[in-house]
Amino acid sequence: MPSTLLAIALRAIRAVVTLLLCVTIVFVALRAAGDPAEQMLPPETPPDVRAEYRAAWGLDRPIPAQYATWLTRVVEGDFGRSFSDDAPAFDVVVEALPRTLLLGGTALFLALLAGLTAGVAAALRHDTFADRALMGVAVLGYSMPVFFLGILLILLFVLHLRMLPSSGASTPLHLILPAVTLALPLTGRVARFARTATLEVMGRPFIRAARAKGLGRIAVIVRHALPNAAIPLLMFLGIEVGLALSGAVVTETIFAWPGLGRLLVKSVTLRDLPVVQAVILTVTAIIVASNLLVDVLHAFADPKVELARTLGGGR
Amino acid sequence: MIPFDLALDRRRFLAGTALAPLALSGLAAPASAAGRPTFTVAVADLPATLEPARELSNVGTRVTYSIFDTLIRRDFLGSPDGGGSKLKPHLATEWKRVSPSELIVTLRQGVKFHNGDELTADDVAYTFRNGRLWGEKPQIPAGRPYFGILAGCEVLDRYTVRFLTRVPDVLLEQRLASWCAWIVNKRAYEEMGFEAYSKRPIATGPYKVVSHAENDATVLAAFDDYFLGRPTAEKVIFKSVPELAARVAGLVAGEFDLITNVPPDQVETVGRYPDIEVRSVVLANSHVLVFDNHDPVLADKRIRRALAAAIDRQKLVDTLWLGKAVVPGSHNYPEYGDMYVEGRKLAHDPDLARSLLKEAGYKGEKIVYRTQANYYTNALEAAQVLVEMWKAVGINADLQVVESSPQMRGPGAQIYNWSNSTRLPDPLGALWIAWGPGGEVQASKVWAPESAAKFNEYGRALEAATDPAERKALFVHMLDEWEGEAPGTILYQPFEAYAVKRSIGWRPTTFYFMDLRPDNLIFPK
Repeated sequence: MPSTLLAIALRAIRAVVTLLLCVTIVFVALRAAGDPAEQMLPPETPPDVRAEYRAAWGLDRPIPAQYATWLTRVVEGDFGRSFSDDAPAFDVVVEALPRTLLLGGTALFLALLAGLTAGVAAALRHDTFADRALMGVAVLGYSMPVFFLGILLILLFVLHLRMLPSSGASTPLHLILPAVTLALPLTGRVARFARTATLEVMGRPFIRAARAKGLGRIAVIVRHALPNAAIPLLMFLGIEVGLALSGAVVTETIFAWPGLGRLLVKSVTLRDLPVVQAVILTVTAIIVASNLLVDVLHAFADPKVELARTLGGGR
Repeated sequence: MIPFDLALDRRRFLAGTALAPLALSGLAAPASAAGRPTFTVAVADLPATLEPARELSNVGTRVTYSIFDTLIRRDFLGSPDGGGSKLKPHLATEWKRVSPSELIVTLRQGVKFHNGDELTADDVAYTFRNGRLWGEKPQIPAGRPYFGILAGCEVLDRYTVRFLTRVPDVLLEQRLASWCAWIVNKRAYEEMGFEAYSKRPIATGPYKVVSHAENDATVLAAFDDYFLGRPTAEKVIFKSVPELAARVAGLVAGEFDLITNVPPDQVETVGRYPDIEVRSVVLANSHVLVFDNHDPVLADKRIRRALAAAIDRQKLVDTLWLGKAVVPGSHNYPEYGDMYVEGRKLAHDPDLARSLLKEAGYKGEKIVYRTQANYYTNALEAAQVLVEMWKAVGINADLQVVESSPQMRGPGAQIYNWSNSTRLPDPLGALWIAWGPGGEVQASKVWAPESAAKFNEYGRALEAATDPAERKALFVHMLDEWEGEAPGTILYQPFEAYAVKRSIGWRPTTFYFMDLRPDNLIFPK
């Protein structure tokens, strides 16, 4: 299938361009926003000592030269070393990544479980009190800022009920509060989307056909409505992965969850450029990959759609 | 029918991937050790490494102070304010001046490192070797402001070393009790290499390193062979908890024993819990303003002096710092001991400010104060008050909030904020480091060379002087010059607040060093 191959090639080029744009923007923004030698060393550090650190980090060279060197190294798989502890930047990221995947994965799972149930239930009880109540809660869920919700949960479950630990990742119990915090806004969005998708499918002729051939209510929903509603939901989830990762930046900071989000906040504060760039590159790669995966799954799930088309190649 | 099967598979797949890491993470609940308790400290941030000379920030020294020892101990807690500067024997039992630039130090015998090695003169000479903290290209350039003065550290015998300085240095004993003077284990440092040692150092302190993850926690365990006696906690955990609300909730819920960085506006709220006490300390640090001499208006020292005279510092302390910060008597602090100049004050004198402005022919040119919003605690609030205080004497002051330090000091800068730490209890360890010719203010000519000339003359004389009376007289001249030329002025010494379980005996020091040695960490019986 040459068109598929072409599509995959085009998509790969697009992904590389996206990555390049991302890291270039980050490079420019961070270079413009402050000097690591100012952020990392005590205020009275003599200028000659600061200059020595700048030279050691390669920051005394012209910006275009720094950019060129950095890009060449990245292509070779070398992300440079963290300014703060001299560890390879990519290793620092790889160490934090599993925790973010655990948190994001759990939140996504919770959001799917609760959001799909609520969304489908609301659609099936369309225009009833239950529908409005469920959607009301969903709106509340996704409009509540994560930093506010997180602190509210800490006050309730840590301070008043003393049931759960607040910070860190040392036991499975530590996962509960951050995962719920991250999941709640996602749940709200999944519920709203699942409701719309289900409602749309329920009005389609094949549902009427299924009913007409005598299938029961449950069988119609499980065998005909849900699989079809799943397709738009799949596309939606591709975007949600990115949102879950960006939500992790705030959630991880509130709950001291030692993942990528915290690493990003800390390294931006310190202007630890190699680490920031490695984090951004990794997150961008995850989002690009998840969108690609969704496109492939879409083509696989929907017989009407060809892979070449979902990937954005010509037909 | 493909979509149907696929949908189910996808769900199974998604559920499976989400649950797998959960199953893998295992059940690793921390077991509390019988006997001695675990002491958990929630900090806002952890250092990148544990190499003490690499990590001179507040977050670094707070942790490394329990892992490392110095030859001489500065007795911070010998003074009620936590800022004592008397020196006590520590890893060294005695030290003797042979000449103004030569000191012989005798080591305590039988002191053990965490790896079982005995502390010897070789370890000390290795710590202070040419190429680590000083010399042509030091491994740790940040060590140079403290030990750049060294000319050598020689082993005389197994328990004796000789320190030599390039020029006479009255502060050498204080240097050996302070920043960058933490003794490392030669064998471990060489075998592990710089990077590995930085992550898991071996030293002589009361606690040894179990693990260190900058984003999560630093775990230390009691070192029972510690030369000052058995540590009182079985384990010390410094846990990184950036969010204040989470630190407070964790402390109240009993998850933590002590939390750091309680901001002034939260002191009362946190202190209201019956079993929690807020313990604060005025830091050996001053928030200061810098008046940039490049600016045509501020080039006139009368305008700079007027800016300084218009500030009601005590009002800032009372309103923004609950009265707990301190207005020092100029760049002059009690921990200097005999060098402290009693009775000096930073006057609030609006009339003087007005007359200086008039004398200088000030015509209402705009003077902008630049600050970052969150770099220094209360910086923005103080800036807003300051602008009003300046307006009250007729200065056309304005406030500009910027993002970064280079923007603050960039072209067009007039006034910006900064801080000065008292690194060593002497003018040479504070005023001279920050405002002397080696500091950034003079290097960037923010303080114009002709204006700083006399100050530099007195400062250089102070570096060479050894007679106490002569030193003090030179210091008074330096202060007169600094206030008269007014390249900047002091606002106040901020305080740092910790909240701790009331039943735990622990006192803070005026540095961020957290002393958890057996005599300063006492648990209820």
